[in-house]
Amino acid sequence: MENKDITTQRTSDSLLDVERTFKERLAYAGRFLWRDRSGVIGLVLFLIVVIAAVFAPQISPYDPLEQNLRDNKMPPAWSDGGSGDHPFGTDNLGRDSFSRIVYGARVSLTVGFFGVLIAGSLGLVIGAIAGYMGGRVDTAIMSIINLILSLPYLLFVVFIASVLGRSLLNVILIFGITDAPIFARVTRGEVLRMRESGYVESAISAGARWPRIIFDHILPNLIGPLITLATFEMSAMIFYEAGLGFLGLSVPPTIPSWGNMLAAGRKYLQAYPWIAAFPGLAIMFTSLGMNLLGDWLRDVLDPRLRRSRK
Amino acid sequence: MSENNVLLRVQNLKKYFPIVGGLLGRQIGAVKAVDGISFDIKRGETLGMVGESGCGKSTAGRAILQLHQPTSGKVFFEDKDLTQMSGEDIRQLRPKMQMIFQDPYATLNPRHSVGKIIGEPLVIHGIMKKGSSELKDRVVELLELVGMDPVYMRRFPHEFSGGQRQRIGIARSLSLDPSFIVCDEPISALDVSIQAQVVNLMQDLQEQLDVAYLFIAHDLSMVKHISHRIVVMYLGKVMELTERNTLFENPLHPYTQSLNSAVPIPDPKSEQKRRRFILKGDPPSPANPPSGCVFHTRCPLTEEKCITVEPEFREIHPGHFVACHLADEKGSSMIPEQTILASVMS
Repeated sequence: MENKDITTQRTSDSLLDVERTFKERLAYAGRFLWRDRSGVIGLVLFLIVVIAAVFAPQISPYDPLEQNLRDNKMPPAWSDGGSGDHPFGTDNLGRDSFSRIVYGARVSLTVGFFGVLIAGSLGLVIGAIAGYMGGRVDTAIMSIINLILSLPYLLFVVFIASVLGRSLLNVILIFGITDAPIFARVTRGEVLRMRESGYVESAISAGARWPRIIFDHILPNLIGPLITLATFEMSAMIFYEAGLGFLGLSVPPTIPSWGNMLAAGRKYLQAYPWIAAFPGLAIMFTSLGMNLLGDWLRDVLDPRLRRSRK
Repeated sequence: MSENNVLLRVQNLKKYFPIVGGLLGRQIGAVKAVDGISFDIKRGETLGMVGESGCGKSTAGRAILQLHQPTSGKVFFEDKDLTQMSGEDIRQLRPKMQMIFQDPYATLNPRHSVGKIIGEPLVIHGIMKKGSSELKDRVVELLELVGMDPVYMRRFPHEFSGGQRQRIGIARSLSLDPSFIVCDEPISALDVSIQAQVVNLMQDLQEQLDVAYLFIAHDLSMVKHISHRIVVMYLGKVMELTERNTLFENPLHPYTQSLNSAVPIPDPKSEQKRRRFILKGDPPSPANPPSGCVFHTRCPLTEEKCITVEPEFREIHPGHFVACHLADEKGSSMIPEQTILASVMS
């Protein structure tokens, strides 16, 4: 009897909840973020870009399209001939570099976010079907995916870009579609591994139906690898978008984007290097931040690694 | 099926895995993992199943539970033939027949807390609602039943040792009050010291809950400890089936005798006198089993008949079944002393 009392007392304790609440999980993630300093740097860099993109009109001192030919090719504020009015200097048409970089974050993030969203959703569905169904379906899907992946990526993107024309939507669609095979392949591999795993088999032997197996056992275990992949792919897309912009295949030149700025600065690289340097640095730090963030996410999303991370 | 206390009856169960090859994926052969096994298990009984790696023990366990669709044969569980049932009907029966898995590391979902893992079968079958206090109480009860502190319920599987994980696996399989559990080498992934703990726990639980086990293992001494009766498998077939003590004192099949001779005796004096009979070679491939008696390629007593005619699985003494031509009431298929000596010398 005494034993029973202890049990009920313990049961009322919140320590005995079957699942952790969302708040607890968030606190958990926070603690592990703090321990991993490179993750903090990644998150800070990423947040700077996000804030710049969201509050671009409030942050930027000038209209990014406003030309002022009298003040063109001004050096950054800290070098000779620079002024505090234009902290990063101005470009060949006298447009404020700082404002253009802040606005450029919008293009980069939009392309990265929606590109990954499209690629991720397409890849998840295709990969999950291939992995779960197996057999001929799997063989057929994987053949197509390997065919797409065997094409030189950039050439493929350049070709589609030149056919579809220059617009933000086209860029997003191109990245969304060409990147889907990578997500599909990762998803398929994970699903295949999990389908044969002990815990899926034990769920079946407990009498679970397929929706439970997919939504309770397979998908939650997919989220970690996929979010990590998404971060890395987003950074790659920002990179490639700038590359396309540099080649004049991304958004039209009227929209300030880092790639377009690089292309504009190329002609003046020797005499006025800062015009190309600042968008280049912006790309570099964004990419670095997202890669650090991805590394940290990979560790924090895997419950097995949480403890071991110092 | 006249006796009421027979819980499970397996009749001529077969499970072949197709071997596909070529560009078109045609079937070019089959691995005969389980090739016609028959036995029954009584309520509250432990039937040990032993055999070398790859002899089809685990496949047999899974085919019985219909986790692998059997190729042919029948499995009667409480007089209902599982092989003829629809998937949904089997699902309804799952609460009564559960499984404990070999690898306690792989069979617990790393993203689910212990409480969720143990309670999942109850939620699946709609017995208790997710997040209800009733479910929580049941999980606490199950954790205490397997000797674990209920505060562990929020932890994740990777935070536990192998023995503790296997306890979690056992708690999960007990959550639905099953009458039959297939234990697929539940202890072979554990340390020896923990093996004894887990086996004793399983024995205690059997006494408390009157559950029947099909205890699959390759460790003969552990099987001897826990089983009431033992079935010996070789290359997908049953070689011998009898009471535990009979199997160790009067084994009739040469294969059983060789397995027996491999069990060390925990007494140095008798251990020195122990005669070892070591089989030569590896078991043949189940994709291409030998003719006649599948054991004839490694049997020291092989005769003409063994190569051509497959021995019948017959009842020599009441409750003692053997598949060997040479076995009779007197047990003349004993490996003669000279053979044993010769094999030790060589």
